[in-house]
Amino acid sequence: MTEYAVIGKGLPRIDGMAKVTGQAKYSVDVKLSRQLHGKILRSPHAHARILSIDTRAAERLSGVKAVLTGTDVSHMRYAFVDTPRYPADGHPLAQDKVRYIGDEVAAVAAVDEDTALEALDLIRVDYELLPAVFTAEEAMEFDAPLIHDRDYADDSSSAWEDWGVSRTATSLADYDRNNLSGRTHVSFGDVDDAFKRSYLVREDRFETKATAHAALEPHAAVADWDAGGKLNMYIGSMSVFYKRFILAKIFGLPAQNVRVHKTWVGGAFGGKVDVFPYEVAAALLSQRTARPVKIELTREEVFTTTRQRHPTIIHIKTGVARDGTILGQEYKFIADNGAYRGSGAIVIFLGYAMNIPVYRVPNLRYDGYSVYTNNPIRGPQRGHGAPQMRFAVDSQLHMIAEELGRDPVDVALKNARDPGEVIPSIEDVLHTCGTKECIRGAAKASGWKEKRADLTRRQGRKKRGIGMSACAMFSGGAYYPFASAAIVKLEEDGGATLFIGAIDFGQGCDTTMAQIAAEELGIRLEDIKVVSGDTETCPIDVGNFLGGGTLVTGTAVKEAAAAAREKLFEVAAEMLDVSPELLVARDGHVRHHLHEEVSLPISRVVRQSVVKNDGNPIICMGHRQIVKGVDRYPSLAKAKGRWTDAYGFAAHFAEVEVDTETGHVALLKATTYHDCGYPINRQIVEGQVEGCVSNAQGQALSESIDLEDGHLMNASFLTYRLPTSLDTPCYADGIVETNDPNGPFGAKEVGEGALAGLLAAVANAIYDATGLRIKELPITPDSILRAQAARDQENKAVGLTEAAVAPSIG
Amino acid sequence: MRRLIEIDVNGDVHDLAVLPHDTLLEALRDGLGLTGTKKGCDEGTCGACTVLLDGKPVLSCLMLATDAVGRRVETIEGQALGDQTTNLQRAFVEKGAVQCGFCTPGFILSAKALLAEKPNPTEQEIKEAISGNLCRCTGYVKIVDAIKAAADATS
Amino acid sequence: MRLPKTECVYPSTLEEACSCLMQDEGQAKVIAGGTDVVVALKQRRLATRNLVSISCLRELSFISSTEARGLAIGAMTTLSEIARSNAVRETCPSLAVAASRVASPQIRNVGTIGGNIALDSRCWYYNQSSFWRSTRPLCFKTGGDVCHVVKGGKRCYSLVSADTIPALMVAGASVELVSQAGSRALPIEDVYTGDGQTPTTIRTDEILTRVLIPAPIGASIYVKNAYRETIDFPIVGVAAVVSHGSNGMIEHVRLVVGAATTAPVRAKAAERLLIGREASEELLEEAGRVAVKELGAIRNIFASSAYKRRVIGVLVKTAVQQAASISRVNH
Repeated sequence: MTEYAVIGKGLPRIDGMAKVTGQAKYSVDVKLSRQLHGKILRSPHAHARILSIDTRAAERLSGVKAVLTGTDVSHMRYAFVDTPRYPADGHPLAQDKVRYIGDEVAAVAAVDEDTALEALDLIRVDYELLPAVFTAEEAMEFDAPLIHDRDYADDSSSAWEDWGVSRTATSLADYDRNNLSGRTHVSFGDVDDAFKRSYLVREDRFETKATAHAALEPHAAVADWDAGGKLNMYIGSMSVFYKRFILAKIFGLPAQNVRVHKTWVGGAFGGKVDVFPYEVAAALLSQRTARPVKIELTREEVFTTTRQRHPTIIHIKTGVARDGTILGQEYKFIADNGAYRGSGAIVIFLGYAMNIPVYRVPNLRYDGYSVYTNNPIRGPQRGHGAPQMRFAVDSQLHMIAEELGRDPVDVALKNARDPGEVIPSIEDVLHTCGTKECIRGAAKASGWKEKRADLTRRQGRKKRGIGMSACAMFSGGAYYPFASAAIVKLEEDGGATLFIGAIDFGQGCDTTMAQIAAEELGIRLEDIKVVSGDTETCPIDVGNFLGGGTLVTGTAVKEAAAAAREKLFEVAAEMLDVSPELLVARDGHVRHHLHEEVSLPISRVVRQSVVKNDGNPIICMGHRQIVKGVDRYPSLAKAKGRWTDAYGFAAHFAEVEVDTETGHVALLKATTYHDCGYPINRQIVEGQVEGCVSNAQGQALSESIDLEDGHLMNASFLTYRLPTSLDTPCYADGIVETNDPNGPFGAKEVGEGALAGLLAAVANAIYDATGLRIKELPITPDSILRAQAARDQENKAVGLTEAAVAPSIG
Repeated sequence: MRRLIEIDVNGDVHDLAVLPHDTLLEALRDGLGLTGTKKGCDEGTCGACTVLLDGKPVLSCLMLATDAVGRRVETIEGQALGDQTTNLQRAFVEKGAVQCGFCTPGFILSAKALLAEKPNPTEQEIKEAISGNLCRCTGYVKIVDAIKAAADATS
Repeated sequence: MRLPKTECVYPSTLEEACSCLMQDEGQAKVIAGGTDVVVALKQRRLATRNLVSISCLRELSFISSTEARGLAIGAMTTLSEIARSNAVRETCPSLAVAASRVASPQIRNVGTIGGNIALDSRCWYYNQSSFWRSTRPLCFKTGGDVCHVVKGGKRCYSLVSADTIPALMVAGASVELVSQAGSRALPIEDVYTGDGQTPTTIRTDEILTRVLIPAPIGASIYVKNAYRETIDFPIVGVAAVVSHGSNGMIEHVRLVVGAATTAPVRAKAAERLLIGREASEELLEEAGRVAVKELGAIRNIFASSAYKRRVIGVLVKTAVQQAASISRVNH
């Protein structure tokens, strides 16, 4: 076991002090001189044609500086998924139609917020209502209203073509249902034959609701053009380079004429990746008025008009041998995409790709459908398809284990993959895979066997149970800009500055990357200064929404620091008259690896380099592709092609207590073992896992976006229920170190994947406690009582029907 | 029509011109440039805008700026004394209680008020004192640890 | 969200405050702690543009014992102060508990008992922003002619939801209302109309100045059901007061169920069942069932009416159990 000087340790975050003193400036805190306030006018209708927009009264209002409508942006078409097969289907402001309640129709900029609000009220829009559809199943029927006419062909290239994907004919023939925004089909082996050979076959249907990212910082953008025609943006983001690319493309600017500035970001969880209409509106309003424009979304707008997690309907049919080995699995994954494509085409790919690394499935058929509806737009959210799928798979596997009379842990271990296995269709190799160690470790730490042997847990009003699940997550996936680079600049006093394009929105990448650089250079964490998240001053970065921060950017950082160290050794070797291979960097010194006293402070070596090497102060670069040696995307439609260089794995054991009278479920203890390869910073890894558990706890038990005919009923933190401090379970975290050869110091993904594994663990625990098998998320007190009523016939006396009853007063 | 009011923020008395319908949160952030107090929801449901009013945690998004006249307001910027950060601030950093940091100022102020009243709170008392502050990043456990550590450091 | 352009005056005497309320053709509105009124203004649910703050009326902030061994509490007393007060814990424990369960610590530090009693009724179609409500036809409460909760409903079914109300009702509390026209006292149950459109009988020119609680009879308790233990309004809140006679049987009982329907209601049939009997497990179960049968429930944002009715039974049982056990000990 290697002992490192800096990495592996739970060192305090380098941005901690700025945050606890209130100094850290987030995008919502940015205020520029002469700044105008922007507001967006939104559609009150779920589906309607725009007949006319009259903005004259708004334009005449004193203090209003600019008003935009769809005609101002008809040349700006973009989306998170923009490929020849799936061309971008959105404009910053509606063109001819609005497709969901909240859809952007107009934008104003005014001297203050009050005036901007007043201006919105003065804009007259004439709508012709159209029939709308609100469920994926209905929208897929061929008699359902058509939400998008497929005529987005124009002479502009799609983003993915700009990135090197060649244009092929868009095959509409795959679209075997109506209103599809994406379609994935994977099959290998002979699944029907596998079912015939199976000892047991189960078929189940699961359903999950849309959920919100609920980052505490609302979405905001400040846009400011300088006189030279450069667009400056201050935005909450998860990838500054992706935002720069899209903004440059739609404004027709060279890349260096768009600068996304570094700001702190108050949480993201996948919800701040897309380029949003309010960002483009702010930029265009700023261009028109030649003044900075700030648009800050209200919390209601964040809930309704940014992104949500895809609600899903998942059918799974599984055939197993008598010992629980999976022989074949068939899945139908239907994702309600909402009104625009969002990430639908990707989530249905991930429903396969994030699931298949966990258990071995020799015969498989997977059909994914992402469906347009007149609901709010769905996009990436922590886990992005994995939570929904793992909830379904591991709930069913628990049921299968029970039918076989076997321990679910044993069945999971029977099917869990081993290192060296190759992911079918995608062809990624699992160089490391710690699923089994995670399951075994967490089973022991949680007291699985002892708790299940305790029959008293099912007695009384409050019943207790324990359940488990496992999950996997990639460490970076092929997406623009396909690589990360890093620059290390040595300082004359022995410190160093690290330049990375990564953006820290809470996951701690500034700190962990600095630790990697410090370890390579043999200096302390406090000797590294990090400059990050700015497209002008930092090199390209994959962004931190694909689980690739540690593996991809970390490798680039390690390489850059190692290169700088090599340069130091060259100079020091001459100074010490020693061969450079005999040197190490440690404690701020370059030392002979055996004779410690033969050493020089790094500062002296750096100064010597300037003197002796014609002013060379030692500045070095490192870089890493997301997927080494792969120059093409995996096919989303067929799930074919290499996708990532490593996967993180986790196993969750959840212990719950169910109040059988009120239906409340308390998460008592969450035991999570995570294979992250190697923890660069133990405290940060724990924090990420704990955050994933809390996030999952909410999504399992209390969080759902409640929609009624396209209206978001609970667009507030009062009614969208995040876990609070009073819901905190006991946490038991374990880290499994598998030391992946592809990751810096063996490190790979942590911070996103672990959410997916808690959902089935909770559902299975509830089943263990009460015998209630609930296949819809979230499992609220109402769900528990309904399930109980359905099972217990004696409750007929209470009359459990949905209809509201007229009250009696007095 | 703006009105000139005098408000005491972090021990400094400010003359501020406010509109009658400005909230205290807006006066602090836009009027005084004290952006450490955050607007998470602007409707009293998340706690990110927590300030201390005469030592008690309140939601500044639900108060009129004029309500703060004659009262003592404390924000996160007023905690450290020069370069001397408080036990709470240091504990939050050391215990990993800060991730994105957006909710952090609100938590620190709620915790400060708790420790002023109960220097040795139990874990349950800590959780109750911060029950009006939402955090999406940390799962709360390290925040509770940090507050405990700060309590220990003070006593 | 910016507040609408609103003026707020800060009268320094009660008389001045009453006079201010007469301005603006009766449209002026009292603001105390503001935690409800500010949200209502932000959501553009209040027509008023003139606020009369009573926050400077320090004389309305007090907790004192009355000669009759009860309590008098000034309307501006915060919920935190009430929750912590030894006098309230001893004399009216249901109120101390209810006050401690309102919302969050920050809101309790500013929210007042007067504000909680006078809280506007709530509905998930009403407590929404102006944009949200513009996407639907106007409901009864906002001047329209439909109810979105009860399909085909002929009136407003918004719910009086404040936690302290059931607690005060079981204690037999009354309120004092003052206006330029004079002052009047009202038993607290007479404050609520059961009509969501005008949920209280408090006139627009009146200021609630104090709450009077008689000497306690027996032990009182408040139990709250919500999905979360903080921040949330109750799905259902039940208060109970129970006293035992010298024969060891229940002598006096009051049960009030709040947030289930448009006004808090006495569960009278359940009360009758309990009088003169011993609080056994079976009796309490039956009392719960009887309460559910006699009362109705309107669905909440995420709690179906079926769920609420089930919870009424559970809370009635729990509340009586807890109050009875304390009463037995005291007796």
